[in-house]
Amino acid sequence: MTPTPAQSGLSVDSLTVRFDGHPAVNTVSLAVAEKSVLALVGPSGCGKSTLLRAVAGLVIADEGAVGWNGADITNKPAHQRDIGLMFQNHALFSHRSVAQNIGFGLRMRGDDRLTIRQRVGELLDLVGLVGFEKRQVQSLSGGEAQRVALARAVAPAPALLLLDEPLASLDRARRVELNAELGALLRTLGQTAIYVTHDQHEAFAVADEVGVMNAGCLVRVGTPTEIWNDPQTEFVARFVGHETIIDYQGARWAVPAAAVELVHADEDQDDCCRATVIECRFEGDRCAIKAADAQGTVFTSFASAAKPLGTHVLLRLHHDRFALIG
Amino acid sequence: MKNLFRLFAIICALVVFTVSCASSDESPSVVAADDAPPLEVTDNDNCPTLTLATHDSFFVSDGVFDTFTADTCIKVKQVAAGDAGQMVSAAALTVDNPTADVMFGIDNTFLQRGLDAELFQPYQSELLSTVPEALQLDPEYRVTPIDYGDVCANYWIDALPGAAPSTLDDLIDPTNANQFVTQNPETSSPGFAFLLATIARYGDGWPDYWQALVDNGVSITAGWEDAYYGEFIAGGGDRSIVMSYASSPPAEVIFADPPIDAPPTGVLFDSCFRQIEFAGVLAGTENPIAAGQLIDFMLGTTFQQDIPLNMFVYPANSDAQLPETFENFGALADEPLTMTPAEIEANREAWTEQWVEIVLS
Amino acid sequence: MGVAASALPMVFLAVFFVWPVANLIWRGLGDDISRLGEVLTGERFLRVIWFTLWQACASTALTAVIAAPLTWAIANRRFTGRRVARVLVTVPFVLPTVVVGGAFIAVMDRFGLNDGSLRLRHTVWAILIAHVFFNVAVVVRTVGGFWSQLDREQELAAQTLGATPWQAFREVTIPRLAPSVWSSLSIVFLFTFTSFAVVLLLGGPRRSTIETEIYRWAVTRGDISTAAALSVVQIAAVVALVALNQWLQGGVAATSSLLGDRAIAAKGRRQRVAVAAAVGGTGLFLAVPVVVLIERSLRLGGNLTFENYLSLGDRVRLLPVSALDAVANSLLFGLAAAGIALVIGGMGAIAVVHGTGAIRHMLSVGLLLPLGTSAVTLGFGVLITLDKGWLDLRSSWWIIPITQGLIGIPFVVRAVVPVMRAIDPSMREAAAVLGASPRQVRREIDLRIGTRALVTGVGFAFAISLGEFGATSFVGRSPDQLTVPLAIERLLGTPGDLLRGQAMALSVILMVVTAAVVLVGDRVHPGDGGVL
Repeated sequence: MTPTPAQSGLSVDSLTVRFDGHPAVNTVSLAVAEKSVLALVGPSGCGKSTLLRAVAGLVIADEGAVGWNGADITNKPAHQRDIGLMFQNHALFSHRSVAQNIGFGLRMRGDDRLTIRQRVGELLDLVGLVGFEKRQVQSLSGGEAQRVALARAVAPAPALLLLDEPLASLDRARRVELNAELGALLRTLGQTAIYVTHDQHEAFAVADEVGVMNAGCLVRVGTPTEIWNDPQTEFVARFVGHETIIDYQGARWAVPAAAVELVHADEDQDDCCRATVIECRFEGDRCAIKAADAQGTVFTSFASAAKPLGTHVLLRLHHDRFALIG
Repeated sequence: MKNLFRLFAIICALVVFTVSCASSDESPSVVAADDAPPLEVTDNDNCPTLTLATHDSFFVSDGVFDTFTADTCIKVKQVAAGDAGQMVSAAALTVDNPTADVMFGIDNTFLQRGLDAELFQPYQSELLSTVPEALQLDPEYRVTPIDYGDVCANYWIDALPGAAPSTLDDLIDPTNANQFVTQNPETSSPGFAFLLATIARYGDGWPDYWQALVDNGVSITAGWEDAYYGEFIAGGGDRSIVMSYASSPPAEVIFADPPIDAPPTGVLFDSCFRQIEFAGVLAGTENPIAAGQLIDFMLGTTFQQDIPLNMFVYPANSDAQLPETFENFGALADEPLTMTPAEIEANREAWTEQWVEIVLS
Repeated sequence: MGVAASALPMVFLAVFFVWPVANLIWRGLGDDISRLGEVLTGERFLRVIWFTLWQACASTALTAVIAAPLTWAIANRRFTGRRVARVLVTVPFVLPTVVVGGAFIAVMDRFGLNDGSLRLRHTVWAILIAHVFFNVAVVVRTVGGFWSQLDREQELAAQTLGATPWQAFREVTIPRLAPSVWSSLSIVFLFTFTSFAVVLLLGGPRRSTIETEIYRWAVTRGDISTAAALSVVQIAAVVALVALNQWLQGGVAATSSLLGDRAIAAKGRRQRVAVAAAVGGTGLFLAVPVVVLIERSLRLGGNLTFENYLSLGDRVRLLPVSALDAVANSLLFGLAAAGIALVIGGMGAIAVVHGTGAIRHMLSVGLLLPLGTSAVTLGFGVLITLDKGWLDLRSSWWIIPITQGLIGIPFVVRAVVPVMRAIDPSMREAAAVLGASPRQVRREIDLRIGTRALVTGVGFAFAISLGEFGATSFVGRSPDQLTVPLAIERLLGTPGDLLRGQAMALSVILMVVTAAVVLVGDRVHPGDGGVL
């Protein structure tokens, strides 16, 4: 992983943050070009939130540097960085109204009342909460609070917006919907952003580039397509959702569900292998089926109808869709 | 924060309102009769300002010091801090850098401590000729007697179990069992005066007298208020004899409502100990001459005649006229018990320790 | 962080407290340190030290027990008169001890507790009961305010895990309340540790505490060495106990989310009975002496009349100004003292919450010390120390609110710190990334969320100032600077119905003024949208 020198946008160079001597972020280097969105994914505790807080200036880096448009901002205090952060728990000011929350950053930089009121109105319009100005934040639903937190974070039009698991507190349906809205919004605003999540689908939906973190290290950076098609390591492959890893022709491959076809009994069966259904998860319009072959390798595929457990099926593997992981 | 400011604005308004209420009340006061007419005081910057240190119980009528300023052009700034003990102790601590030019209110029980601490510089007022010899305790004229009074047992006339007590020994008579309340000499000035009275009367036999008082059910309080208003009949208590002042009966008449013709209390003159209050020029004053003039003024008839109804003590100047109530009900013991300041100071600690042993243990 | 906020409190404390007190102790013991040894080994002194500690601990524990039901009710249940109850508990706080003592004695008389086997007068119980009477407000308001804002989810979670309400209270609520309980109890402890008039008036002549002994040695006997030695013991004991308290608190996790007022309406017969019992029980205890006092203020020469109040505007002989002028003076001093406590206490609280290392500990303990130091030591210390040049405050009226402010500051710090500690840290971070500088974060987050507690603390500082007698009496005042407690003392110092009636009326006015100011303070809310 070589640091990418960025003339514009954010550059993080060999950043290390230790807690009690233990590195939570370990020599991470990355770059985010202006007007692009980087998603950071990784399992809980992999250091992605800490990395985000170090970029925001809320934790002090032990080593390494953070730069913006070529200037070193490593030692700049948080309030002078022009970086916005949307918190996982939203951290709305419980003692202030919705409008006061959203207008806070504008007030801090000294905007006049009229400008603030106008801008707050615009933002409430943008996030679909027109008329919520005087509401108390404690009376908001999870989705409303999330929108207020987003509006508050983008209100001062920060150069860089950081989002820390912004949808974590929402139910699945709202999450998918708001995830799409959020992606669209970031693009509309032309907002440079880092989006931290543990959900790869969320990451793929909003990001221009995705970074995968594991145990404090950034293990892979690339566009969603690159990562999906070429995960390079088993960890990344598993994390983005390739559940099956096989040895084939002297190499290791990740087998995505799309590379596994359920074959009807009446089709040509020469290149198929036999397997037994061991799990069938109903997903509404389709079923995710896991089937084990004679060697015990488990493949995932999709079927239009449910199959009882123990049913024998035929699987066709499309080798051209395998991803090489070395 | 805005709300905090609002809160303070409201409080400010409250204060202003109260102040204006208080000061707009210019109707002639029923209780305080300010006889002295306002005087034209010439404002002259060359006139020195004297600081007069007093205890908290010092009062004069409005405008009394204006007479002095009008005559001498010297201005007087009064500063009060605590009781006589606090005042003398504070002065002893600041003897190198005194807070005042003249001190008023050091009495014969604290006098020696003040003299030992070299608080005063001598000043011999010509008006001393009007003051009885018995009141002049310092032959070096470092302090000048200003007023005096007697600390005596009082009794509630209608509540006595027997005849009115007339001697100290009546207090240990079984007739008056559980009737007498006095104060702790360690925390109360009249309490200490009474201890001195018993020592002056009984000499080395005083511990026996106190033991007899204890056996007869004497009650001890920390201060005058809780004796007079807590245990004495006057405040709803059940004891008919209390250690107080010879001037308490006139006060009962003056501050009665509705008015009464005669006080409900009487004085046990045999128990009286004489307290004399002095004024002195503090050593280190920058205005010794003006300070002397102030002493003269305080010994003059204007000031002296103002004393009785404000401080409930007697003027030292025998030319001063007494108010009517004092003439009628006020009284002084013919032969009060006394003791020299030096003897008091030398034995204070030993006597009070012994008293604690007898009475409180 | 917090360095800027700690500078002013440090300087204030150093100039107006540490320097004068150290100077007096040096004056007393500089030449002859042996007096300290004598004090520490003398049997009589050891008895006094032991009794002081003992009665303060017992008073504090008893206050906690008596205040508990009312604190619970006010924090957890909405009921008619809740706000009034919260205001009225403060009233005893300002009453001069002389007056309360008188009212207590009258109550004891009425219930036959002055004689016979149930005699209370001049017993330790009289001291303890009076201390509880004065201090219930500190616990009810500080802990009650904190408690009412705690979210209830965790208790409910505990109950779903099988805890009974009592277990949930013990395992979940008490640990979260601990910071504010410790805070308020340390205030009560210091207050009773240095109590003066209560011990003298109600405890009777046989009981003395370090505070009364310091007065006796310094004032009655003029022995500054012994007084200084006793002061050293007093301050050392206070520092040790405060440090112990701090250390005990160190183990308590302080963060818990504070929300708005979470009290719910009392439902059902059982709950209503519980609230009525809690409010009624503590309320009756507090109300009886107050009612006696009001009744006395309406009596003159055996008749019921308003004459005592109507005559307050007139100047009585014995008072250099009218009683109403004294009320105005007291309000002015109280306002200035409250202002000092607000500024120094507020900054001190921020420094204690955000400061680091030594400064934080020094302020945390140091700002409490004035409350635990003898009025005599402080008063005489100021007299011999602040005596030069522009610092010659010995006869400036400013020294009165400064002295009273010093005593009020601990109330502010102790009310505010637990609340500020409980602020969710991500709220401060959110403000920082939105462009708030550390100073703005303190102002916009800490002070805003702490406003309610700040108002509670400043209210106490104001009340302290209105009722303060001891320290004020050591400060040189011109006669027209008479305050209400001094006026009451003076009116009660000479026989006569008229004077006594006025003193009682003046005490009632003092209560009413305090209640009015506290009521106004309680209406202050931080932020238009906030409910905290």
